[in-house]
Amino acid sequence: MTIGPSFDSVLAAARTGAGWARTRLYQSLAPAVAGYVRAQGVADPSDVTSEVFVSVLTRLPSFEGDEEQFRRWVFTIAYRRVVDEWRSQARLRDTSSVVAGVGPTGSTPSHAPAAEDVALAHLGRERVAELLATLTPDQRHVVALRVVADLSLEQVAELLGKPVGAVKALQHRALASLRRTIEGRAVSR
Amino acid sequence: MRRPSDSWDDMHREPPLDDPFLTDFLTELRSWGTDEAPEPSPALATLLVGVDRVDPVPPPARRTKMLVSKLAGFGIAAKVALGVGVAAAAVTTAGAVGVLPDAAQHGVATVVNAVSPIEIPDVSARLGADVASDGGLDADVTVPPTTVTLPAGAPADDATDDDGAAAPDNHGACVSAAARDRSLSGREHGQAVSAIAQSDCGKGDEGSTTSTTTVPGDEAGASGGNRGSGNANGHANGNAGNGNGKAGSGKG
Repeated sequence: MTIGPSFDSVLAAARTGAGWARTRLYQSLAPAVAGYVRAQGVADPSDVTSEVFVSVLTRLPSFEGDEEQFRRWVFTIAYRRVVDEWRSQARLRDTSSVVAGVGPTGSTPSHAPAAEDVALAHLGRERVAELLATLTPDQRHVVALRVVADLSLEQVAELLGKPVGAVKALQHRALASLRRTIEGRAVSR
Repeated sequence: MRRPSDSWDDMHREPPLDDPFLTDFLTELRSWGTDEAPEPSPALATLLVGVDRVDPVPPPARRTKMLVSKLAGFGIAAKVALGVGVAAAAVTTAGAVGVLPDAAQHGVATVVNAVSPIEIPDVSARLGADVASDGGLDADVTVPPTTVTLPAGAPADDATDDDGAAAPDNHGACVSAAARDRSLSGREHGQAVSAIAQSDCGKGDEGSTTSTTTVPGDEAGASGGNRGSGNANGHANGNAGNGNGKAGSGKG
């Protein structure tokens, strides 16, 4: 959901503390941020999403740019928050906090679905989460930022601090891996 | 096998046709970004409300409008009850300050003094006699003079100022002293205190520890004449007795 031509006025109002403008900014990006956070296998996506927007609204006076830049800025904060969450989870070594087996290690969950379950006509959320869990963290970031956050290759590259070519390679390998996983399970059915 | 594309557009719009599951995967994943916004945490909710959180005090016009709107929403019974309540409060307030007609004042005083610790003036007590049903306050009622002995420490010499007008503080002290005096009790005590309160409280007997008062009425003129000698400026308590007193002085 984009705000459109009124973005500048909404942003200006949000900077002054107007609740309606802040709510508008939140509603325009919170679903995508929550989806991105969920795709990273964070234990409590809603809580982390709220933390991301607390940071966004707190730092709002320092932001300058248009709506596209604002979107990239928000996802940069979300990416860093997710990385922090992963580190925190790693310290706790509490693998049970990872939703549906999706974790920072990119390992296949122990309760990997049977091939016939994966080969359903329509993939449910849990199946998608399980497939994401087969990717490496970088691959998962790239796929989620490209698909859920709807960022361009260049934006993702800037956000991750990687060259665009490296991001392309990560995306290529991620899709190939997903295809292999899906096809392999379908074949084994 | 078809290679995956390097851009999202190719990835999304031209999915491998031989791989419907990958298409489903990407479609499903994309829908994650179009859900409802999650419920904000309390900390975020506070920030989202922003400065709108501070509810400004509504201006008087708005408050009046709100009051009218609320009243309009009341039922007929509620409006009648509210009206009766407001009227009762107004009558009670008027009774408390003693501006009601005497008959009404007596009624209000009887009720309020009976049901609450608040004491409001009662004309019948002020007269020291029951109000005759036919005569009311206009009846020619004479109450025997009541003699009240003030305590020895009472500042009787401060009861009047240079021009003979009763000083409010001394009047209060005089009445207070009379109230504390327990030589009388019950109804007689009340009558005595009431009479003292209505009097000039020792003004005519400067330096005396005893004041003799009479109730206002036909005799008040003579009494006022006695007490009000030399008073050309009127009295602070300003009752009818003072006017008669002046006349008495003139006659004297």
